[in-house]
Amino acid sequence: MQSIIQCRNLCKDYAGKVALNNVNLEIFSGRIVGLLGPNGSGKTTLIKLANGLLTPTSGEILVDGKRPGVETKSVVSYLPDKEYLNSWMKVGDLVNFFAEFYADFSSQRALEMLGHLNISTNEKLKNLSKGNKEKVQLILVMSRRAKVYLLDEPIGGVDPAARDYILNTIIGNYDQNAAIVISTHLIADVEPILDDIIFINGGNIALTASVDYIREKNGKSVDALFREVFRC
Amino acid sequence: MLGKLIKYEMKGSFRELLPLYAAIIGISALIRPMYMQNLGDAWVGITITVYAALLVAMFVISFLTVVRRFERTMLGPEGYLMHTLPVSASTHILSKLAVAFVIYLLSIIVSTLSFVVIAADNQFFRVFGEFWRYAMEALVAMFHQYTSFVLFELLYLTIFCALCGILLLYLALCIGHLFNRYRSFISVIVYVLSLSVIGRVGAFVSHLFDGWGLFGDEVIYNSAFGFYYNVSDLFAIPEMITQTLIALGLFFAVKYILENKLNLE
Repeated sequence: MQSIIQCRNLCKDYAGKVALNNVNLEIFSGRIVGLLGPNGSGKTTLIKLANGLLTPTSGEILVDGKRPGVETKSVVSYLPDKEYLNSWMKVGDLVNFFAEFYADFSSQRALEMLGHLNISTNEKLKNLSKGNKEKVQLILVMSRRAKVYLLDEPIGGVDPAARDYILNTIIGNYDQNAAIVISTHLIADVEPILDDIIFINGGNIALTASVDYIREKNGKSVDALFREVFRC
Repeated sequence: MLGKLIKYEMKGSFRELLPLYAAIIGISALIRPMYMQNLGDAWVGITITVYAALLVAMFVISFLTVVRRFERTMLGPEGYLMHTLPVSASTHILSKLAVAFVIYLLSIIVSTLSFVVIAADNQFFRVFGEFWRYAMEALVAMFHQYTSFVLFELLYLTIFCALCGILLLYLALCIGHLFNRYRSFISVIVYVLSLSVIGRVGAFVSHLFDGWGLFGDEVIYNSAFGFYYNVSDLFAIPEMITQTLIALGLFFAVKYILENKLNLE
């Protein structure tokens, strides 16, 4: 397995408050990884650092062997935990936007998925429901043939039916050689699709392991282990 | 990538400005017929007031658009999209700079055009034509064979002055972004102080090279105003170099912050 993301002594502070504390970890290609932790544990910070949206306080993070920059951005497909697309743009314009900037983007695949959801390409993003906006964002992100997909809380704000759609979209569209990192605290929903898990708490990595190993060693599900580790 | 970024930056920037341009040209086209048809001073007065208000609004909104576009797309929510595109910080800055310059330029063109629409008749064009001819003759009388070069210098300094102004705005926003609190306040303070410093640097350089005769000691006669002067005084090359260096310094400072200090929280 090839290491696609490496963190070496990675630290991040926000105005003196520690968000990540000396994180050392590796994420490998071809694996679906759950970045799991309670709210405020450092999940989003780690994903933003991988995208170059934050600058490390110390240490380094490498994506495909390089520090975040133009080259890494062409191989990372990122879904933020918020609405980030231009709401005044039409869905079709957004598809064209992604096609123009990302060489690995498939307009055909995006249009097919939008068609399945009956989302018109002539519709402005701001006129869509919250759920459909999130689906459009996910469709655009998953229509790329990236080496890494960084999905920050992809099922955080949607109903259970939409969660199924989102997880099926992720599973049905990613490149088998790519790594997928799914950040969430909704463990039970994502557990069936995960290969590996990273437990993060208070900016520290509490556990990294494969899902199979956890089940074999602990005799319990990831969700049960999470509740045990992060019990209040 | 630069062309693509400029295209989307244009779309984002001109959504609010294009209707404003149309409104200004439209209302300026109404003023002259209303005046000619004696519709009454009140109506003409109201229309001219609306026209003036729209002109002011255009300049204010143009400035705010330049500020908001950079703040939102580089340091705000849209930064999540823009900074994850496989595009360098330099390309981002250049695209925003180019469009901001076009916004400033269009504001001047639209206001001039609207004035022409209000004032234009045969007499206006005749007077303007004569004025232009006299102005050109006076310039040649003053600067002789150096007229084209002087005009080039003026154009260069005007363009670079505008570019420095825009880059200074970007730098002030970036520096404000480095702080956790009072970002807007800090940006304003940085902008005002930097403006003052850059103005002083420009004046100092200009003063420093006064009378050095760097470009020879040829003396020519200004027949428009009737005096002799040194040709060296026409050359604003030190000022042009200073403006260029300031623009480059501002550009690389913005680039450094976007590349090394970005924190989209």
